[in-house]
Amino acid sequence: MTREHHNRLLNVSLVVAPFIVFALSLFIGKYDASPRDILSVLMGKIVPSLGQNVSDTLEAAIINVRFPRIALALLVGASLSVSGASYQGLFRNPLVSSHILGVASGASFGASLGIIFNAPPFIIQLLAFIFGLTAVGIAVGITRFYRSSAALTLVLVGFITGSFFSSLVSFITYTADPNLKLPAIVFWLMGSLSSSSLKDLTFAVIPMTIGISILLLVRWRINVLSMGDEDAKALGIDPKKWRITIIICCTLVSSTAVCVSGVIGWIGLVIPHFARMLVGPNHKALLPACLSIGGVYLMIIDNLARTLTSAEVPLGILTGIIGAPIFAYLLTKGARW
Amino acid sequence: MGIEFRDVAFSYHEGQAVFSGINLKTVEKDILVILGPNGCGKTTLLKCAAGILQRQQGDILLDDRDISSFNRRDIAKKIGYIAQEHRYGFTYSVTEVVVMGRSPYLDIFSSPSERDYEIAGEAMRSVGISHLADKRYTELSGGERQLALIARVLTQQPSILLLDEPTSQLDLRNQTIVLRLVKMLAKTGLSVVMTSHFPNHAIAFAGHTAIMHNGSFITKGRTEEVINEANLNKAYGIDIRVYTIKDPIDGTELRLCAPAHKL
Repeated sequence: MTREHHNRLLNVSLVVAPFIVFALSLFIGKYDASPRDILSVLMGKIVPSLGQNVSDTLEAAIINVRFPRIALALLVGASLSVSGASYQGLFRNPLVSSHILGVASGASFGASLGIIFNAPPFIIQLLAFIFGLTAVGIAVGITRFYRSSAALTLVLVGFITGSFFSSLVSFITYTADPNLKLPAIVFWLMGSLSSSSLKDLTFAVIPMTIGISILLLVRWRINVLSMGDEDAKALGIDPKKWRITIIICCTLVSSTAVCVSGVIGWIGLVIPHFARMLVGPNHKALLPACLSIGGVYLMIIDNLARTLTSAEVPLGILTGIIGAPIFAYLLTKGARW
Repeated sequence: MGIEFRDVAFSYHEGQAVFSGINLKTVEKDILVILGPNGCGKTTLLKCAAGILQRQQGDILLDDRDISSFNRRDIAKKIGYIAQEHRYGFTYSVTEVVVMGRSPYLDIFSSPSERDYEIAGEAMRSVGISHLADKRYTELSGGERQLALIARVLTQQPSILLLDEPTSQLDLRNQTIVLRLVKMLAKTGLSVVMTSHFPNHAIAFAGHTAIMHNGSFITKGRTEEVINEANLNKAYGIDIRVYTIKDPIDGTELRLCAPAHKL
């Protein structure tokens, strides 16, 4: 097979895979239904006459529970991967992600703050975004202060801010009402899509689409930014302005992900590396690849979370168990990025 | 046309000027070498000329207009700059790096077109690195990397080229390749400013030279007039001799300089 064929096949698979996995995932779940019934529900949504002999409970299970959950898995996976790849390019550091930079912890602090004060969803989202931005701002600020350009400094500083906000989250959970609020916060923090509803979906889809679209539109610029500030300036790009734009977009999508699904680690780190091995480091190809692979990956993981055991396994646990060894393997496979 | 410094001063920390009272003008379609020992302020001067650092005093004019009144994209269309220090990004291919030179011409949401890749291809051909097009940029040798960066800067299609010690990390062969290329570029109409700590490079170009020492110019003018023992001794703080020798094979005269005493 020639290289060109190989590339075309790869591109086609990257485009088609999310659709196929999405469709197949609709047939997987606890609610006992034959593929034929599920097909009738789906067809009924397109051509109403075909869905007449479908029970209302089945329709509700598929349309109100399963569909939004799969769609959210796709969106969250895509968001975390695309933002991870963008953060990595921007900071020219292949070891960062929204999780590593402390964005996830900051956002979960903001969101838990909203939850204990019974804030409406929009305010929870806003708080998550603000504290996510604060966390990455502090991480970048401290790194600047140390005047260090070493890749590890940003990772370590991210660890510091992350730990700081995690402690604040712990404090909130500690003080939360053990009957009403605590279980909700704890389960949500572990990372889960189990309570996804159509409402969650409509709520998350707008900020995520906006953030991902902007990142995709400016993705070629990330190549130039990854050459360093001085080169970017010499090439006519204002690094500060672009850095702020991209950080805001990345933080918007990853804090929205935290709001709907809690802290799901490793995806933002592992998927960009995996995608880079497939399509190379050029962000023009890398970001769309991350979108596709990240979405597919989380849909599959969530299918496992739903079906593996009789009780739900929180997603964050699964992505950690799977992600950590994969990342270790990718590093041994050649630390070329 | 070109870049002009009028009484320019720059300091990173207040009261500690890196250079001051600098007057300088690029020479159209010729090479200006800024010569001086390490740490004399050459690199900072070039960064100010490239619009990367902002001067504190005086005026820096680009085509007779204050450089700070241009936006970054317009500067990048006129001035190409290659830094001395280079840190790698990701493992991009040489083509991907070279085509980045098109970024001042691209709208914020667009990426390089076929035409941009053609321009990048032409640039790679003209510096003789077409065979490296698909190679990982991080795996290039020092000489190849410098040529790739020159190809990138040519893809920018500037009229002024600022090179910060482009040969400092190269062996003799690669130094010569790069210097010949720079000379050829000046002949094709680019105004070049190049810093160097090596007087023989300035002599080889036979253009103009400004000798810098402790943040100001000792002298500047046509290279053959400026490069003499008195000026070099002053700049480098050691005795330096300028020799005129005859090539034993074809009889052409060469000027060379070297430290006066044996080690």
